Order: sequence, then structure tokens, then C-alpha cells
Amino acid sequence: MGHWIDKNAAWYDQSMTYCACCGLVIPSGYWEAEVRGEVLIFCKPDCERLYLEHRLVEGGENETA
Amino acid sequence: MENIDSVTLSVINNALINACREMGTAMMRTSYSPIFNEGLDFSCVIFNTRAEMIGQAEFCPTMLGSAQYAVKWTIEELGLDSFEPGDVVIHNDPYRGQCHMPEHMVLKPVFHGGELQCFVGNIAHIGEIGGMAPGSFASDATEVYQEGLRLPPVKIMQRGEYVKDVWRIILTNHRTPKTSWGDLHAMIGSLNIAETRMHELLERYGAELFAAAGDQLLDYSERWMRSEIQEIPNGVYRFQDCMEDDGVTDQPVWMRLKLIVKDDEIIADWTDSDAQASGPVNATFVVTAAATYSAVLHVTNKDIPVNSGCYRPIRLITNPGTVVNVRHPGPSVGGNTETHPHLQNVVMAALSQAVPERAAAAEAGTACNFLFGGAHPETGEYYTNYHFDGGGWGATALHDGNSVMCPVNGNCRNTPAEVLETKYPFLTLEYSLRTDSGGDGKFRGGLGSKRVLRVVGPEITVSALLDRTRTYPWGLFGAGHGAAGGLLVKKKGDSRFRTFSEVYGTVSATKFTRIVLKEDDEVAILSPGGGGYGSPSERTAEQIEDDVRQGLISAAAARTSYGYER
Repeated sequence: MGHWIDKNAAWYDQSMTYCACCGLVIPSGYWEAEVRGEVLIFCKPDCERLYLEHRLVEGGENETA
Repeated sequence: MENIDSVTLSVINNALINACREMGTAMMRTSYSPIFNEGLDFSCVIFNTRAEMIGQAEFCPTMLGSAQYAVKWTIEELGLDSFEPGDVVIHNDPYRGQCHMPEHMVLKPVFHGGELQCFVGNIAHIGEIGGMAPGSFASDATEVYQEGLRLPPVKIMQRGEYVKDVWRIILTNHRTPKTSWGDLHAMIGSLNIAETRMHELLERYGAELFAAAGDQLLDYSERWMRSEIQEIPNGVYRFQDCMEDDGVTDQPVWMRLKLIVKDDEIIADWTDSDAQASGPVNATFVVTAAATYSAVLHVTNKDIPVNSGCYRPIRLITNPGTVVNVRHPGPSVGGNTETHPHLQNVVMAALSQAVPERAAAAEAGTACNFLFGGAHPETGEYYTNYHFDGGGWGATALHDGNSVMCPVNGNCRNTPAEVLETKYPFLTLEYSLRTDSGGDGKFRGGLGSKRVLRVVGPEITVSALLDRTRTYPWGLFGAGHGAAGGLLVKKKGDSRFRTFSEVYGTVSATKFTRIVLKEDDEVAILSPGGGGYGSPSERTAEQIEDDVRQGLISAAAARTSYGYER
């Protein structure tokens, strides 16, 4: 189960963080979750769910839909 | 708060829509540049304090779909506590939730009873924001820094007063600061009108009911959209399309979609798309999101209140660093005008496999962006203009495609020849429908246009960004494709039109910057036609005769495409 993290970036910081699922550039807070031993950053919990349900399926395939 | 009765909810929903429409009218009547007062390249929106869009009207789909990301970023970067009455924030950063650099959002907080209640916003295409090309459409840019002045969310008004330092930075970096001054004030003026309307609503209903109504409208739209998606057969639908080149290299760039419809949700998986291009045909994430939303809205009930709620069941998967989600510092100015309609068409084509009766064939898919500027021969003042042309729309299961419409992402209007000639040193020699440019079919694709302009001043510097000049807007279910577009030049004394690559050696014939045309040179802009729908053999003789009589198709095409002999 993931949890919210505040980027706490300095006002002059121009670095960018991308959601591991949808690819959105994340403004400030993000959802951090451990997936198969790897810590991933998501823009929201729903993207973690989508990642688990779709992207983790081999090749992104989900032909059972 | 308990459920608000449906009458009150409808009244508030319509009031929000009307406030947005009123903002648009103010913009049209008070702005300086033709792109606003003729082209209507702007959108007016209302947001709650959680960055959810609760009100909008019939403006540009690309802006309406992406606005929620730009507003969310603005609120999160600045913080809700930083807003005060009378503030206006400006923001155009494509790496902070905006579509592309020219699109500027102004956002104003609305306070009532001392509390922040909502935001009113206006997103508009500022026609000149500096950068390497007049008109700020740098078709051969290789990074965002060449595309103009990039503004993170910053206040340009604070407690009703000008933040003069920020204004000076903006006006110093734009080539036509007087126009920017006027257009930005038109935008801010529209916010003031909407603020007044929100005060009236809050006075009438109170803050608690106003907020609850916004929430319930969002939930209502989400429920309706989910029920609409449930009517689409579950399945995996694929389609792909390409940008024919990126302005820097002569290579196509492919966007590939796997669309998954599962019960009441849609997943648009774009991860098989090509790596981001060197040139500016890359889409930002929000452009891809807006294109996806737009296509789904086209095949679902038009009466669903369009707000952030109806977007909730539509989810995206993209990889940063691809043409559908450009990674910093890649350029993206063409991603919003050119790649967006391609993306929308791809989603529509995928959906046509599931709901053929609701889909449309491909449309022109290009805004025919033609930018120009220079010192005006009559005034000596520097001018620039962002000109776009409409093309043919795709036919549907019920209708021929509309002719000479701006692409689906813009919902804009063409600029009349008279306005163009009054303001700029171009003479319009021809503006006509392109006979036979619509794809043949049971329902015919809409026609593209031909516009021929002659330079009537000493010189004009031009840039361009067009696509679908070597690829075609496809037809559906046995129909033909629309004609490709084109951009040609005839130098003074030359006997015929040639491509810009032939005359000036540009890498791309239709994506280039800073070509200097001289007096009496001519340019021909050819917009593509739309694809047809259904077998041409099913088109009635009466329809074909009518097309020939109106000059929409030639007698020769009637014979070859439809087998029709008078």
C-alpha cells in the first residue's frame, strides 16, 4: 500500500518528476508505492491501480477485457 | 449537503455555462488580434478550489481538456493560501500542464464572504510571444527555449494592481507588445465579468449550496459518462497514424494506440508510440489527454455536462519521452495544433471499430498554420499574425463531412479575407473550395480550401507548420480518403507554384521558419479534404448530381469514383 509524499521542492527547483503509469509531470505531492520490490512514483493512487492492473500485465496486454 | 433537486442543479449548471459564454463574447469584442476576435482561439472555464472544472462552454476542445491540469499545477505550485481577491495568475508552461507555449491561461480567484469559492479562467492563444520565429511557431525548433517566453504560474495582477515587473518581462519579450497588452486585458476583462456572475450566484444560493452543486454536477457527469461507456462493447481496439515529418528531419513520427474498453471505463494506452521527435510536433501529456477526451465526447451523448467529472472514467497511459508525452526540454508548439487532431482521429478510428454508427472518418488534421510578420509598409510598426485555415471534416454514418472547418481540436473560425487584407500586406487572389478534395463514399468527406495570397509590401517573413500534405485523411468502411493538403510558393516572375523545399531548400516542404517573401511573390495554402464514410456505390444519384451541380465534385470524379453517368 502506497502513501502520499510532498515533494517539498525548493521554489527555485526546476526538476521534473513523472508518474510511472500515466506519464504526467507531477506538480507537488505524489503517491509513492512499492511494486515488486521497486519504489515507484505515481500522480495518484488510481494510477498505482492502473499500473498493477494493466502495465504489469505482460506487454501491457489485457485481452480479457 | 443532501442531493440538490434537479431543477436547481440545472439552473446552476446553465448559469456556469452562460457565464463562460459571456466571457467569450467579451473576449471577442474587446481583443486586439484577429486570432481572438475572428478566430475565437480561446476558452473560458470555471473551476472549484480542488482544480476540477465545473463550468465551460463551446470553445476549443484542446484547451477544455487540458485546463484541469494547468489549473491543478497553478494551485499546487502557488498554494491555495497565496490567492487574494483581485489576483490574476498567468501561466503558459507546457511542462506545468499547459498545451503549448502560445496558450496562455489567466486565472482569477473568486472570493465571497471572505472565503475562496472558485476560480474563473481564460485560456487563449497569444499570437506572438517571442522566440526564434515571428508568430512564435518555430517549426524547426529543437527545444522549448526557442519557442518563446515561458511563464510558470505567476501573478500579473495582485489585489487588483498591476505586477509591473512581470508585465515588463512579458511585453519586452513579445514582438508585438501593444497587441499582447490589448489581448491580455481582454482576457482579464472576461475574468472580471465571470467573477461578477459568480458573486451573483453565490449571493443567490449561498456558498455551501454553490459548492455542493459543483460536486454533484461532477458526479452526475461521471455517472452519465460511465453509463455511456458501458454501451460501448468491451474490447481492445487499435489504430495508428503518423506525423509525416517533424520540421527538423524528414522522417515520419508514429503515434500508436491500444484502446481498452472495459465495462464503464476506457484506458487509452499510447505506450507503443515513437520516441519524441527532434522538431516541434510533440504533444504534451495534456494534449494527448485532451485529444482522447474529445474523441470519446464525440461518440457519447452530447448532453452530458462537460466538466472534470466526465473525464474521470477515461484513463491514459503514456511514456515520457515519446511523441505523445514530450519530455523536457523538447519542443511542442505543433503538438497542440497538428498532433492533437491526429491523436483525436486515431482514438475516433479505434472507436469506429466498436461503435461504427457514432464515429467519423478522419478530418484534415492540420490547422494549416501560416505565420507572418514584419514592418508594416503603411505604419512602419512591427506586426505578426497567426493565420490558420479550415479543412474538410470526415463524413459520418448520417452526414457528409463539413467543408473548410478548423480541426477538431480548435473549434475556431476562419479569418475573413477582408480582415486579413485590412490589417496585413497580403492580397487574397483566391479563396475557394477544392473540387474533388472530399473522400468519396456513401457520405462524402468535407472539402478543403485553396487560398492564394500575394505580397503587397516590400517583404514579409513567413513560417509554416502543416501536416497531411503527403498522407491522407482516411475514409471508413469502404469510403475513399480526402485529398492531401499543400503549401506552395510562386516567386515573382516564376511561371508556376513550387514547394518551399524546391525554392528555399527547407528540410520540410510545409514546416519551416523565417522565409522572406518579396513583393508580388505568391503563396498557395491548400487544406486537406475529409475522409468519406461507407461505400461510394451507396451514394444516391440525386446526391451525386447535386455535388456536380455545386462544383463539389467534377463530372470526371462522378464517373470514376461513383460510376455515375448523366
